[in-house]
Amino acid sequence: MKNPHLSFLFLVFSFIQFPAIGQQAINKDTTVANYYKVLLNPSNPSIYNEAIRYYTNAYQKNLKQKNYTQALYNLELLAIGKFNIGAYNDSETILVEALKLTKKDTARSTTATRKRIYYQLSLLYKNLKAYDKSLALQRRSLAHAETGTDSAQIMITISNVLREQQAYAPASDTLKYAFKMLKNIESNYLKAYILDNLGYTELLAKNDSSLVHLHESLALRKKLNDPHGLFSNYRHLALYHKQADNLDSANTYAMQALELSYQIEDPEYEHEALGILVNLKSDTLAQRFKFLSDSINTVKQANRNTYAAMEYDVEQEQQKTQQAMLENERQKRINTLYLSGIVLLLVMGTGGLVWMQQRKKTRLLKTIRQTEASISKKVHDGLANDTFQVLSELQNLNSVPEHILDRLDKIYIETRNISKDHSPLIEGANFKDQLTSRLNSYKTEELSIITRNLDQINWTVFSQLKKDTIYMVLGELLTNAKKHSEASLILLSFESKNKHLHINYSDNGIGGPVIKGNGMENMEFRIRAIKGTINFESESNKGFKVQIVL
Amino acid sequence: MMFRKVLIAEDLGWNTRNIEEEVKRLGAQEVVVTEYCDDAYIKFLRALNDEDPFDLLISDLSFKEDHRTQKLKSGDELISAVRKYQKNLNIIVFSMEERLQRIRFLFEELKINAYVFKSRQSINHLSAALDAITNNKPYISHQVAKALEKRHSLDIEDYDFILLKKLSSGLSNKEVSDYFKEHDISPNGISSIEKRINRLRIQFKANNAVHLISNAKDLGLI
Repeated sequence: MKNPHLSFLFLVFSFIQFPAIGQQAINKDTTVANYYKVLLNPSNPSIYNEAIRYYTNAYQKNLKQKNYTQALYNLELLAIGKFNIGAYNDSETILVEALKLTKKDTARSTTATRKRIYYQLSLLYKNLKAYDKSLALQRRSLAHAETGTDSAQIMITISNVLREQQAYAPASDTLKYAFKMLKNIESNYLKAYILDNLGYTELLAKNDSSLVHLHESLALRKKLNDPHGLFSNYRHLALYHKQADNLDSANTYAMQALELSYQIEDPEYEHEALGILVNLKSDTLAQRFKFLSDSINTVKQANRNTYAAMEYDVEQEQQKTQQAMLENERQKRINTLYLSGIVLLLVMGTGGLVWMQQRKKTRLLKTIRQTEASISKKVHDGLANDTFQVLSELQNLNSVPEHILDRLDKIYIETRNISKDHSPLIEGANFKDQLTSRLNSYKTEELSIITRNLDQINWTVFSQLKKDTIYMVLGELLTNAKKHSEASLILLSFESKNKHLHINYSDNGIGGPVIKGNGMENMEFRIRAIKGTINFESESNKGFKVQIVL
Repeated sequence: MMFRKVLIAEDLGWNTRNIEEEVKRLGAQEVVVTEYCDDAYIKFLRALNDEDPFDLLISDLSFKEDHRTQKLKSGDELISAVRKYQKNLNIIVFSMEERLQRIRFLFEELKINAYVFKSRQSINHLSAALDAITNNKPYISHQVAKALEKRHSLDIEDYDFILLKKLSSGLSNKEVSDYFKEHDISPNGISSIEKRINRLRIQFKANNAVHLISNAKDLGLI
């Protein structure tokens, strides 16, 4: 549990530090005002939770609408709310989030916001007794300060941290420097505040100039008519005189502090004042103090326990373990990074390679088809025509033996077949008809060709290259069957399954190694080039089977 | 005489002589031979202009490309061009084109009258084609006759597929008939089913019903 000293100082701080925020909230309706209040001073857990929810939602909404200034304001309040119940981890997370967001926010107020966030973080670290971190943040915050006033305010906090560390001399120096910065600035409020803090620091350092500074501050605050400030002055003066064994003076100032506390109407102030008085003497006031102290403590205890009791202890434990875990994780992350980097490179490399090879294949297939088509035309228009020419010329001569004519006719048919096997699809024409016609052209008295579901396939979804490949490969299969299989029956069944086209070829031929030459490789290449697969199955006397999947 | 004036578009000298002789033998008085489609088109237009049009065009489909750039590069283009001017011109295509779809297109779209496939018998086919045209009938060489067959599809019909399935599961013709009646599949008379089975037997090169089922099974159809 924090000592009352600390929490008291903190209260004073929050009043100074967030006036801008306060004004924004007051304009809203009372519920929102209540939410705001409960975050700054958590009292009712259920309202507190509602408030957290409310501002979390508001934050998300503003973020979505790119209303960054408002979103930042929501985050700040959430961070303060979490801070006030001792949920330092949450608060820290929120503040870091807010810091990130300030980079997006282009509003002019951002610098001030960032400064406030650094400030809040430094308070957080101060409370976590992470003084070095806190100081580092203060200095960072100082770098963002635009005006002397800003700088002075931050320096006050720095000095507070230093004082916590009992580094009284640097704390005093910092305050003196801050005071110097305000020399030409009309800010008695801050000046009084600095002098008060300086006096208090010197008091702790048992430095006698404390009294001078405390009185200077008192004079300023009397002019300002600032009850909170005056209360602090009286409190410090009382402490000073008590330390100097000037119990009467101490009593006077403590009494003045007590009177002010009635004006402020805050039991915590009254409690603080009475605490000093009790230290000075013991009488009926002491009983009053005891009563108040008990009741306030009960309330406080209840509050703190509801929210944070465990969290606070856990927090400290977490601080330690987190450090170790962070280091551990960092190491892991580095390892994982290397590993995933290598894996990614491999995957990308392989993927790229496969893709490039596929592209190469497809391009190669296109080139092959063009060449084939042109050769097919040349064979057809040139060679086949010429052969026919010779044939018909010889026919007119009576002396040519029949078997020569037969041989020549065979040559003619063969050339025609070569041409036919490599001729391309007629572009734009109905593919189903072209394919059917082609299959039909292999049909003879001796060879029956039956198809299943050819008419049911929607060919429009296939690219010209794919259709051409199917046309070619099926043609090759039939040419081959006609030449070598001795089959009398061929079945070609088509099926669309799971976005793939399955084509199954089967015949009742002799089977065995029926595909001669590099026909098999040719078909395989063509089908692979259009990202398909082809499987050949052949057993002697069991016919020949081919499965094509596209 | 039906074919008094004949235009031949064919880029191979020998062939032309054969054709020329054949049409002259059948009574043609004037035969104009061109080796390019563009030339043929000009002769055609000229004759039309002189009010002495051709009665018959005999054209190849593919022409060798040479140094002369042609507007009309193929027989199809020539035919399509002349058809626009003279709907009643008789046209015989004389070619080695055997892609059925292309041949079908010639008949259906360009309304050619005959298709003579270049083969050893082509001169005989040409006479037959001329005969057919005289009698107002289309002609097609038997090698590519499938182009004009009514049913282009090679697909086995669902009816046949179900029939084979039922037979393979052991049903008699009578039982198949009952099954078809039950499921509103027609024809479902026993004699129709028997006819169908016979047709399938031919299609599947089977000697009897058992052989038919065995063949269908071996192919993986059922």
